[in-house]
Amino acid sequence: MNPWLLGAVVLMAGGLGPALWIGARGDPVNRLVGLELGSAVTVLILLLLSQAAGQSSYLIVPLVLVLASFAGTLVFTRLLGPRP
Amino acid sequence: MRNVVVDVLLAAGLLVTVASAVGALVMRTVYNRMHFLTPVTSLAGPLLGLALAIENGWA
Repeated sequence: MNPWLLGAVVLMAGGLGPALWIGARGDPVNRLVGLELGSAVTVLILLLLSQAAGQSSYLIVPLVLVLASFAGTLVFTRLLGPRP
Repeated sequence: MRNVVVDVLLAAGLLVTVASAVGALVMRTVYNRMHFLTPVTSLAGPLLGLALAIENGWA
């Protein structure tokens, strides 16, 4: 197991686990924070998996996830706000 | 030497991410939790990116 794969496993357990826990409990705003944390950690995991696999073309996946999660966070924030 | 630098950067990025995630889990209010998102994006991301850049070279 190379260090990149080990790092991805560490992030899945120590980073994505708490993010999923936060995202699954509490009120909707707390869950949104969990979703944001999960998105950021997932981007890092995908970067490390791409390096572990030795395929630089896989980097398009975390790149697209960054853009999608940014827009998704804005949409969820808007939907959770008070209705006019 | 280069491997040592890459390993240190990788370990630092992992440590920051895991510590931030656990910190966000421990906090109780939304605003306190949101504070712990910042190190993941502004510190751990660049650390891991730098490790990847050094490992793969600039060419």
